[in-house]
Amino acid sequence: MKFIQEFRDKELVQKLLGYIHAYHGPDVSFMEVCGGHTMAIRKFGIPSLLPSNVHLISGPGCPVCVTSQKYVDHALALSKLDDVIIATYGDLIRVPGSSTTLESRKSDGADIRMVYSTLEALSIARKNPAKKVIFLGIGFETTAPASAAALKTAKKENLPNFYLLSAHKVMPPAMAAIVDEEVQINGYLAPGHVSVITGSEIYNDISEKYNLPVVISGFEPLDIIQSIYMLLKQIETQNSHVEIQYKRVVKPEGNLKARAMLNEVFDFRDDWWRGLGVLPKSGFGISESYSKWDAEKHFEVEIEPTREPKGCICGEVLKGVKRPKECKLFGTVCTPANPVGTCMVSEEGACQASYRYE
Amino acid sequence: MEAGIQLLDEVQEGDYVLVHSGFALQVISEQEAQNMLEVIRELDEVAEEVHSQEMQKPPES
Repeated sequence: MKFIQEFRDKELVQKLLGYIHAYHGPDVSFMEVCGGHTMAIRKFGIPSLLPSNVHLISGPGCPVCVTSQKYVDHALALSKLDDVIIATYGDLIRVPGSSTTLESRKSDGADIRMVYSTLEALSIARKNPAKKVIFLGIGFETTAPASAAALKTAKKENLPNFYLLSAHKVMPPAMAAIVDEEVQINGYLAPGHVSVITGSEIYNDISEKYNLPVVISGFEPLDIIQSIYMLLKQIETQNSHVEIQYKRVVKPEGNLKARAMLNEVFDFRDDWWRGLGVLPKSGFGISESYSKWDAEKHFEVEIEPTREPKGCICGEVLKGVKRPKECKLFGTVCTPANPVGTCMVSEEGACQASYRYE
Repeated sequence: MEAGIQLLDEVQEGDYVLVHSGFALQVISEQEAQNMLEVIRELDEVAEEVHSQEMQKPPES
């Protein structure tokens, strides 16, 4: 088994679609909260396969999109310090800060390096002992373990010139906030890769409190369609609970080793989300025992006042209350080549997915 | 492609793993993958039964 073609089986997809089209109840909207789902759903044209009473909407699942402009401005300020190397995942480099981008700082001569993983960032630090390497850690429970592993390595090696600027976030508070803000959804297509780490139990409270079906889904067409089928079955049988569709990698308990690392390296803290504002205990700050490698604590820089782009509705798109095409800037002023807001910058953003595939 | 295996305890040569941001996050279970496909293949009878029951229901007003 190669784990890809099997999950694009036309016959099985059509079989499930047959049952989905047999749903004749009231209109339902399912929200996905994972950038990977946003992309996969648009790329495979899933909405066009569904009956007119079953809707899919994107939520706050794109890491770059929900990250605050203040964080980007913080990174930009750090890039101006002497003897500093900024190491970052590629998708953050083009995100507009209040006055510039990391990409443009790089072309002005700042030492900003795109890395594929935190392991590369550590290696840059080892090779450049006279420099201070700051890794920009963004993303949810999926990528936070990579940052945690890096800090554990830095501690073990007593690496004095590696730092993490954490904007890592956790998903459940945002999923609860969406419902609290009365965004009309009838179920969650829960994030597959977040759940590989966390397991399925983190959604129990949301499902119980709001009587909401939750299905943890994979990323191939058959995965997504089966998950929609499972959500509809929960609605039809009026039995809301948390189910795992993506069982080939998601265990109920998640990845215990990675969870232990997150517990060791991070503490929960209140954090700001584009579209949702400050949510209690929704972010990962670096714990006291790792503060030596915390860029926030080590470097004192002045961060410029935040100026959000005018006319951009990315926040409302992330909340699921507006579609990308409802934005006046969409496709004219704001394109993937010349993005105004984060939802268009990131490949995982709803605006870019909509621009590329719809 | 390289991937760190620091997040996994049990991984062996020949395993398929899910890689994200340069780290293997989990070993992919072929058994669970087969089970999932089997569930959909077997859906026929069960779902058709439910479906035919639904068809017999009077239309909702």
